[in-house]
Amino acid sequence: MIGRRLVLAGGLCAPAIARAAARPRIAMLLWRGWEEACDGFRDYLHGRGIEAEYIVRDAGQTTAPIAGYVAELNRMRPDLAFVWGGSTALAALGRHDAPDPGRFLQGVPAVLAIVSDPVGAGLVASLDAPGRPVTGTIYVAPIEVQLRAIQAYRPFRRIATLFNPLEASSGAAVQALAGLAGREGFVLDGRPVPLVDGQPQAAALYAMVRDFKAAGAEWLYIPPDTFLNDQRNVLTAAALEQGLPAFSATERFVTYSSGLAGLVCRYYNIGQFAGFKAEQVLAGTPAGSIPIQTLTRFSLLVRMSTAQRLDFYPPLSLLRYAEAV
Amino acid sequence: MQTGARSVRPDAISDVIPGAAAMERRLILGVAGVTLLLLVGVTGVISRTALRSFEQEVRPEMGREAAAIGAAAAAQIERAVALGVPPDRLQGLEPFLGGILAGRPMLDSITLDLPGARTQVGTPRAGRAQDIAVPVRLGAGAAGTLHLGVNPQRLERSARDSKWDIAVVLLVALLATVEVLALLADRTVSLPLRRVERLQGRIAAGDWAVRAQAVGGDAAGRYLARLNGVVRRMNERRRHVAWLAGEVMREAPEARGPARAALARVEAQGFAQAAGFDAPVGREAPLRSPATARAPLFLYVLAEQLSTSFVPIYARSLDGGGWALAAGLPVAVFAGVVALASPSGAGLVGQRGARGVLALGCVPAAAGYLLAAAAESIGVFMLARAVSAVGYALITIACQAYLVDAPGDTRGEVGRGRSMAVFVMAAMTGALCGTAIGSVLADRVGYGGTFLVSAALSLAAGVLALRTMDGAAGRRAAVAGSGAWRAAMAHRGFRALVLCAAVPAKLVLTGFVFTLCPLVLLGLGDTQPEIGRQVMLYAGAMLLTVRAGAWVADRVGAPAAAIAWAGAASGVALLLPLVLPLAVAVPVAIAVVGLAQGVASAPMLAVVPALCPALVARVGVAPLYGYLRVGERIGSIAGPLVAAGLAAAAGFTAAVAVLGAVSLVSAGAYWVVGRRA
Repeated sequence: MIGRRLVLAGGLCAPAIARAAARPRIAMLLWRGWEEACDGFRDYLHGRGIEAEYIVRDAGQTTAPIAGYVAELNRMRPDLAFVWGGSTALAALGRHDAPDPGRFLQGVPAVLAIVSDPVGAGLVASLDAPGRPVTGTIYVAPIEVQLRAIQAYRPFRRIATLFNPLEASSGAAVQALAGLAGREGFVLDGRPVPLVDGQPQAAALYAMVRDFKAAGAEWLYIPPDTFLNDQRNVLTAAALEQGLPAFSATERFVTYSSGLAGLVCRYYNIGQFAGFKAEQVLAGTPAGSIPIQTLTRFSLLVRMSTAQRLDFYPPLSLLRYAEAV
Repeated sequence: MQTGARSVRPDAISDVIPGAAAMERRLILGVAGVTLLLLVGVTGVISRTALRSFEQEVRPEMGREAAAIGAAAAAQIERAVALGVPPDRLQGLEPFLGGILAGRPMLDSITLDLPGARTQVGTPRAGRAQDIAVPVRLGAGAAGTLHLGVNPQRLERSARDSKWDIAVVLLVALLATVEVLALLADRTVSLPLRRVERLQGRIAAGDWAVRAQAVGGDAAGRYLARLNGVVRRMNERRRHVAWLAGEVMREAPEARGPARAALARVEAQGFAQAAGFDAPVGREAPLRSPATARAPLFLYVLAEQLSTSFVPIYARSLDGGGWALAAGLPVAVFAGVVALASPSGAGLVGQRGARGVLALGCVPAAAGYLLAAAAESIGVFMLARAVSAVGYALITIACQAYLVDAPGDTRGEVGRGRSMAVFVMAAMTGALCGTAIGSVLADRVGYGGTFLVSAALSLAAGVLALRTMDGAAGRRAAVAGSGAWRAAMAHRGFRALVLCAAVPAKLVLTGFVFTLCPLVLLGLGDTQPEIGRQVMLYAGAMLLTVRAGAWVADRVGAPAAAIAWAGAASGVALLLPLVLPLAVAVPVAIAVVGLAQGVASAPMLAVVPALCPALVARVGVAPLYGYLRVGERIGSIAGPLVAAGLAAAAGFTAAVAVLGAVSLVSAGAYWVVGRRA
């Protein structure tokens, strides 16, 4: 943490203008349009005196157009690609151990943002040494830190969670939580969302939540999961109706939906941190040697209207540092 | 420091000028008395004023601080309510208020009164407690109140601590004043008078060849200069008379008889050594006073003992409390290095003289303190204590050698015994002052800062030694061979003295007083100054009874009984924690151990010649005193380790009881063996 601050501080002193002789070209490969992480990324670089030319390509929440964007970018040869989301990254970059020059981005260093588990997803070999020109940020807090936050809100014995079985990273997060169950003395009720024709079923979510509650769950943990994120309104409304407090690893379940609480990285902040990584790449550091990191400070979000509906208020000691939304 | 002596003070001029010792003592006591009155008066007035303003300032200050704490807590509650938490649904109130209370000893209790509900943490105190009420706004006209109970004892304890600190500073100032006066009196009164006395004595004995050297400008110096003039004129007159007598005898043979008679009458006036008139002018040998080493020794012991009351606490904090023996190790390492370094120190004194070695010893002592101040691990701290121990070994050896050599007069063993007492008193006064002021310092500037003060003081001791001591003294300190050791340890009575008296005494001192006491007192919630005051009881009590011990040894003639009784008393004192509350038993035991060891310190040395006269005749008494010291050092090394180990295994009370039992059994064994021998 200190090291990172020192790097930031040192960077502030460096003459930023000198290296920006030509405007760098940055491809923004996005999943659902330009949002806060992109704002944070752009604002950081702007603040550092890097006025880039942004080439924005939006996948529109489906992987179908990504192959076309990759082919286009391979021709354009931008200086850097900002890749938003795990699905986008996997479609654009492929697994680190299965290179395919014909399908994936070539010769363009990539900076990841809003990715929860790049190693589990096979994007890189390790966080400290990615092993390919890919660096970036992780946007979820370590699972143990999240668990402490849930326990600080209200201790529990049984917690339920669900995940899209097609998303490796959300399954990995549930596995990590299950690994803590024995030591911490709780029971984890983790179930995959049922698939029909190879697609997760949003219609099944309400019944799942109802069953969780009936089985005695005290909390619903929502892992980082693109499918669940898309269905966040359905999911959190079901939890609210069933009287099950929902704790989320990512921001939108609380800020834009009716989830109770979450220990999250703010998208804007993670975008800024990705900007810091991009700055290093633009300055000439090989992307493969820049570690992939998460923030060291997270935001504890509490939706007070949900707390009132559930009559499930946070303790005073937690409210001291929580952000009420 | 080492054990005591046969008598009390070197009344440097008492043997020759009747009443001079009394004069010197009256001088010191008079000046010290006046100083005491002035100091007590001035500090009394200042402390009274300070304490009153302390009450006036601190009490409202504590109220304001409590109000600020309360306002911050109220703001948290108000925020929760503003965010939509109904006042009757506030979650985790007790842990929240408890967390605020936990870190603040100034608060006794916090009570939150909300409409229809009350949450309280801690226990409010009846009586003088201050109740600070802070309103909690709950919106829509509703309100609650947060009550903070301020602990009155906190205030009283602060005031009491300040009073004690002032008393300790006053005591140290007085004792230091006495030390400085002793040095000044020795240099400006006693030493010049002794020179005058010696010169007069030699003249009275008919030695007219003598002259005072280095005559100063003070009264004694002017007197010496006049005496030189008288000697010169008398020599001239005598030469003149002799010449006249010679002339008369040559010119008038009939007057030979009367002339020879006149010459004889001149001789009869005390000019016995006629040769003295014409002998070359003799140099006055320098006078060595043991008192010149007293001030540097006092300063050094003060420096060393500043840390006595917190070394185990500091060690344990550096170790993180993980290792049971950690608290005892630095004390043991210190004693061990002293034992190892002492023999080479003795050799060094032979080469460089006591003054040089004393000054040299202050360098590693100071370096060790600096290292201790910077230590961040138990390993570095032990290294620091080891380096300081080298200094301790050099300084004590140098002082002993100086003392053996210093009384450059005819008083022999008696003078030596008295010189020894100077050292014991200086060392005990230094220990008393150091322990007391050290804990006050540690409380104010921290352990590291106190070690820095130690470093500065020990360097000052070295400079003072170079300025005041005689550079040549101490070179002929005797080093005994190893054969003497075997012979001594083969003697049953002497062996009993070493093993059953010297070893257990130090075992109790370093194990109980220096290692376990600071830790257990800290555990009882005492502040560092309170711990220091209690550990100080040892030196204070010992200072009181060293004289009594010397009296028992010299006049009553029962040194062996004194030693046995002292051991038994220490043993019984250490059993007190079994029956009394620790807060009472620990200081009482420390004081009793101090009293007992004070009584035994002089007899421990005095008993040797009577105990083993044949052995003394063969190897001399000095090596035997050395072996006693070896025994003491073995006890000093074992004490902290045994005590810390026992305490870790069986708890404080049991550990102290074991040490007490060892002391009791040893005293009994010494009594039985001593009687047979």
